[in-house]
Amino acid sequence: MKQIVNALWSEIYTQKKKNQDLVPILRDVAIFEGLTTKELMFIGRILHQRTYSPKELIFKEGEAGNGMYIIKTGNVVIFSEETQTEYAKLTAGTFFGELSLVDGAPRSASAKSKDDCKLFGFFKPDLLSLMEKNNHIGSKVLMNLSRVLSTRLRNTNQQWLELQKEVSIASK
Amino acid sequence: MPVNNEHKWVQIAYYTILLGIFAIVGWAVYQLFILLFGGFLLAFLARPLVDKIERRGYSREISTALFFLGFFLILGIFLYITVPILKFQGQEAYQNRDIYWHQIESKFEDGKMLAQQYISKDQVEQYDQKMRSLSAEFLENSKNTLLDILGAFLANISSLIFIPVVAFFFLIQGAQIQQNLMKHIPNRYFEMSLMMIHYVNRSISGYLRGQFLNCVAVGIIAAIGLNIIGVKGGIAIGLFAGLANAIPYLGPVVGALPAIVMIIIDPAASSPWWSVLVVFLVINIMDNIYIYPMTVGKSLQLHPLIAILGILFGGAAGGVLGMIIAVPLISIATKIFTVFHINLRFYRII
Repeated sequence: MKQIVNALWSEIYTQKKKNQDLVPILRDVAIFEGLTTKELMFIGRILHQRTYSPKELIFKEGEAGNGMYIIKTGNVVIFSEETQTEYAKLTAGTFFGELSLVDGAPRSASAKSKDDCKLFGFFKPDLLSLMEKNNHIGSKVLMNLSRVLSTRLRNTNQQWLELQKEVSIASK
Repeated sequence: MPVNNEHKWVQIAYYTILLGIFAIVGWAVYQLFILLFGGFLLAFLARPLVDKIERRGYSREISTALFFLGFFLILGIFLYITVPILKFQGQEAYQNRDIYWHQIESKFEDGKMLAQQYISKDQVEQYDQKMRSLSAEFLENSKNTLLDILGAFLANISSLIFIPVVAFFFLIQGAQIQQNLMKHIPNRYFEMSLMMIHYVNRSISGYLRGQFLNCVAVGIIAAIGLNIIGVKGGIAIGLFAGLANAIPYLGPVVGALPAIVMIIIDPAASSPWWSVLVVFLVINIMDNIYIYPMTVGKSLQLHPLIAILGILFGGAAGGVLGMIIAVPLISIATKIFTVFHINLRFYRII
């Protein structure tokens, strides 16, 4: 009996320790901003940790997308297979694919690992379950997600305006 | 896969042990199938309630414990009320068995007299002998089936006690178990598998919970209705009708038959036999208009022809139990296939 209790306790303790290790990484992710340590530990429990070998495809352009990835270790390349263009190189602590959390539309680009990578996946079912079970955390995450998306939209608008200016100057 | 000769024997030993472990686990799952399936089903049905309690700020463990406290309280009250009634009605039926038998004989004689107006006496006697032997065979089979069910129930009663224990762990660790299983899915299929599990889970859990609530509601209404019209054993027959209601189209007929037989063979019955039809007609209308749309909805409705063929196949393969579980199984299989098909296409795998 004592052994069973010890085994159960060690399982709970190991899980708790693992989640505590995640907290510093998650704290720097924009969509988990403002969450308390306890709330981040809760998030840590629902994330999916995935390991990728170098140059392994994470997702493919045009495929259904249902969630985002957070880079724990390693580097990820975002690129277009059609045009063979590299859009971005992402490093540990950054995240990508967050648009799919909201719209579920096909992926606009492909992603592959550059070297050995450890990623955390956060997907639509996880967000829905968070909103249902723990709506306090769910609403904070949704608010942060809206903020990230609005910043992206603002930046795109800004870039578009600058591009328009450049085009009008060039045409003159 | 390249084989390193240096470690060949270690690898062979490792895979043999692994295979042995899988075989033992497989055998254990096979032996404990009812226990595991029952626990899984109970956890599936209970999950929304546990989630609801958890949303109030309690931990998962406390929420699950509170659910089981309520569950055993309600089950206890239900058994406290129904067991004495069922016992009384069973004893009454046993004591009156000669009266019922006499009533059946007299109905039989009436039938024979009526038949003699149309066919010869010899033919009637032939049919009479045939009917008697068929009835005796049916009664013997029913008795054996009932004794088998009772025997299996008593033999597994210790296992049944463990169903809530299994459900308890499924409820607490369910998400963790699913997450651990997901770790073994290759990266390429991971996201797709997660979405498939999500969609299948959502629609099937809703369907199973709906069916369960539907059967409970119809069972309670049938028990009340049959008691009002004075059918002996109304509670037991009503509960059976609730269970039979899981069979689409045929369910109400299967549920009504024992009540009609009971009211015909009971000489003290205060209502005519057709009052049972009225009760079941009212229940059926209430079920179709109000209860079924509210509990099950339209999420997993099958085409009537497929449902009827499924029931016939289920009946041929597994008797009454086969008939009850055929339609839910076909509905679930259809949903799983649809989700698989859509997702495999969506992820450009097919």
